Amino acid sequence: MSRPLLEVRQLTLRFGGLTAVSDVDLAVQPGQIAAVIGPNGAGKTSLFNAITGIYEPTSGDVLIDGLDAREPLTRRTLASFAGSGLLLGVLVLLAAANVDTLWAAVVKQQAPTAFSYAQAADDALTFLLAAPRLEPKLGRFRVVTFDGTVVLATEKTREAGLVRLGEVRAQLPASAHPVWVQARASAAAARTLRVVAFLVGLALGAAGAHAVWRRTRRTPTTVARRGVARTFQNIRLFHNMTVLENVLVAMDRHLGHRVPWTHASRLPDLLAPAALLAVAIGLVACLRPGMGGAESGVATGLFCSLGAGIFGWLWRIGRRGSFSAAALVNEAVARTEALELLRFVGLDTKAGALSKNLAYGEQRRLEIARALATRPKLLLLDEPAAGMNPSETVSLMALIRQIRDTGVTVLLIEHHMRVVMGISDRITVLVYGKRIAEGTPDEIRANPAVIEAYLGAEDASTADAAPTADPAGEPAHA
Amino acid sequence: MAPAGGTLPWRRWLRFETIALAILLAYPFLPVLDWGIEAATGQAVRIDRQLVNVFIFGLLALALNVQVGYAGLLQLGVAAFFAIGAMTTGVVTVEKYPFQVGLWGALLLAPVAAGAAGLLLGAPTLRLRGDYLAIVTLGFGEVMRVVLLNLENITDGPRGLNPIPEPWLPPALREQLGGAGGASEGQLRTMYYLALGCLVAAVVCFRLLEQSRAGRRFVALREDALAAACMGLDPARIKLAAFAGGAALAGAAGCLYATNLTTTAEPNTYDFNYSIMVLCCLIIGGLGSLRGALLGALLLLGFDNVASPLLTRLVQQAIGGESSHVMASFSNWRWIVFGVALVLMMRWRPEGLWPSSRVREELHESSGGPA
Repeated sequence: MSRPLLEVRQLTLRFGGLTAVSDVDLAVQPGQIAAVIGPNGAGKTSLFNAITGIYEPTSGDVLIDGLDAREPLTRRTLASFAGSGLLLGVLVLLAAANVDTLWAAVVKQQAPTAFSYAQAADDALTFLLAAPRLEPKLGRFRVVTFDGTVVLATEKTREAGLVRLGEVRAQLPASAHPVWVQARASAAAARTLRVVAFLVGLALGAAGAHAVWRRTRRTPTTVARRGVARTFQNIRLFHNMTVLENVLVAMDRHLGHRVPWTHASRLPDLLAPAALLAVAIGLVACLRPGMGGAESGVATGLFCSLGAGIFGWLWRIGRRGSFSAAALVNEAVARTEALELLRFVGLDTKAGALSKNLAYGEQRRLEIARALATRPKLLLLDEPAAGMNPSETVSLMALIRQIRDTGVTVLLIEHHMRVVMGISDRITVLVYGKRIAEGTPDEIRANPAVIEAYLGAEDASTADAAPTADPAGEPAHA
Repeated sequence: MAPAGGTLPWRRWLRFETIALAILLAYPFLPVLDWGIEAATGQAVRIDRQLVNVFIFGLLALALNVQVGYAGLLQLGVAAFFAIGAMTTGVVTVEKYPFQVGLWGALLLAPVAAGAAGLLLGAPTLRLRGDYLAIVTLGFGEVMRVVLLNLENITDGPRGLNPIPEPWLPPALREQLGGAGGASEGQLRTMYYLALGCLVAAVVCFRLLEQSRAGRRFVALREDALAAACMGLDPARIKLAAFAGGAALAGAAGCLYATNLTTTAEPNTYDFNYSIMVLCCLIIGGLGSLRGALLGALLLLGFDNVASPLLTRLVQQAIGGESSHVMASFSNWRWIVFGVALVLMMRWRPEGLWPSSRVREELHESSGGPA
């Protein structure tokens, strides 16, 4: 047998003490229609959520096309760890090195002023001597250095303060020398601090990036981009968008983009009005006296041409209603494709309606169209026939077959035994989170465990008649 | 009207905007409203001076609209990005630093700096849900204000960097703009047209964005982020783009603001109140609506800078010349007026005065309207 398109190995999903899915194996071969059935609460939707990356499995693997559904660790990922590590490292380094002082030294080119305690004490003495009638605050004089960190003297009276300051002054050498020695000593400490800060930043940045990457290895986005699309049991359309827009959103990934600036359709936007205006204004400015002469004329011409170029571009995109001609073409192609898809599910006449205004069955079909618009290899349908009347159900079965015939593998959850038995190639039965049977519809129908746990004797027999009652090639719309 | 924009709605939309633009373009030379008010009340006003502020504030409101209106990220620290734009402009243009790239260079650099700050803040925090993100951005706004205040060697602390030079213009153009009013009039008109030009460019770009794939992605994300992710859209990346883009535009607005003031102003100007004012613009005008954001800016600043001083002067004139009682000063009532207006809006018109059709639908659905 060929390699399965989707393989679920030993998947377990626990929520606290509750085991929703327990050791489930599942393999879906390409080109098949596979079904998962089971009573309510058997963990079918949880299984779907684990496959599509909404839940992170407690244990077990999901393989799409033989490769793990999680994003692999590539060289680019490693580079991004290193990059964010470096970025944070540099930021922390800047903070540790004190941006403010660095700026003063590098940009303003101010030498750091040598601070001297002796000078400070001198200044304080001068001040005290010059101000004989100073009133003490809270009964004390405090002589503090300008930055407030060192108290040179604290005395009750001015005289005592003068004496104390004199003593302090006598202990300090006259030059600024000690301060420089201290600065040199602390330079080594500062260097260590910077290195440590950089390394801490580097480690934190890389670890943070790694943590984010680990948590986002398996997200609905990454799984969807691997070619797995799904519908929801409780319809999750974009209700206030039109039917067409719903499909267009899903096509977004495949719309062309990155039209280069050198693209032929973009050049005239910028250049034509710019060149015209540049020539005109340049000429006028050169020829008319009193407008600053040739040099000013050239500058004026360049300036105006730039402005004109920008506005010419805005004007053109305004008239076209799009940023570039290429984007407009892309959009038109996408609209055609989206309408094609809507015709496929029988909703092309409702393309302009808001999706919340559709009937229930139509909403379900729109969900299928939206999922197909992502160009999936595997389509997961969560109870597509729920709430549909019998004729809608029949056309849904035909639609699912048609989808399979276009090369998309289908995995569905369904309670309508008529649908399941009628179209499935393989059926998996889940009960209380465990897989109790797997096989073709006939095998499942005959399986005593399944009959006991889920089907019941009567259901199994009525389902017998379903395949023959269903006309095969019925058109998609009811 | 079909929400999906083909070419027709765009043309229809343009008609109103074109008329408004034509009036605004002519206004500095034909200040009709000034004449009217002077004739009616005897008070001289200069609305074109205030319009420059309205344009800049409108640009800031549009920036916040990208984050709050389009991407649905409640951002309470937009003033921080505004401040980063203003400070960057100061640093790269003032005489005391060696860069001196002039306004045109600053107009490129300020959005880059603010956008980078937006990326740095957004990358680790955008996985937070609504209210948590609001708190983080609120904190960022306050921290940024204090940081700018304390980096005295760079930003000159509370004094602010000044003077920021006027934008370079070709001499011929400058003379034309100045007209009879001379240099100061020329400077005012330069700023007027510059701010108006930036605003028009922003409006055109956003209008197109709303109609393009990017606009669809934003709507899908607001409607159902999980379903959008299951369709292969990357919510984190879309949000990050909106966050950084909005921050960059706020930076551009900051650049214009600083140039208009010729100083970066005291960092305390860019406080929490400022962010809330911008948010009020959006709420009054209508979240996610371009016209709404601009209308909000016009109403708020128009009330604050034109109507309120004018009324104050009239009231004081009426009650007798020189007496200037606190209660008679209309500016002191402005917070009450804003507050009452907001409460009334929330009660009677939560979608804003001029909402976009899509947001109105979304709001009425959540308030239990018919499905």
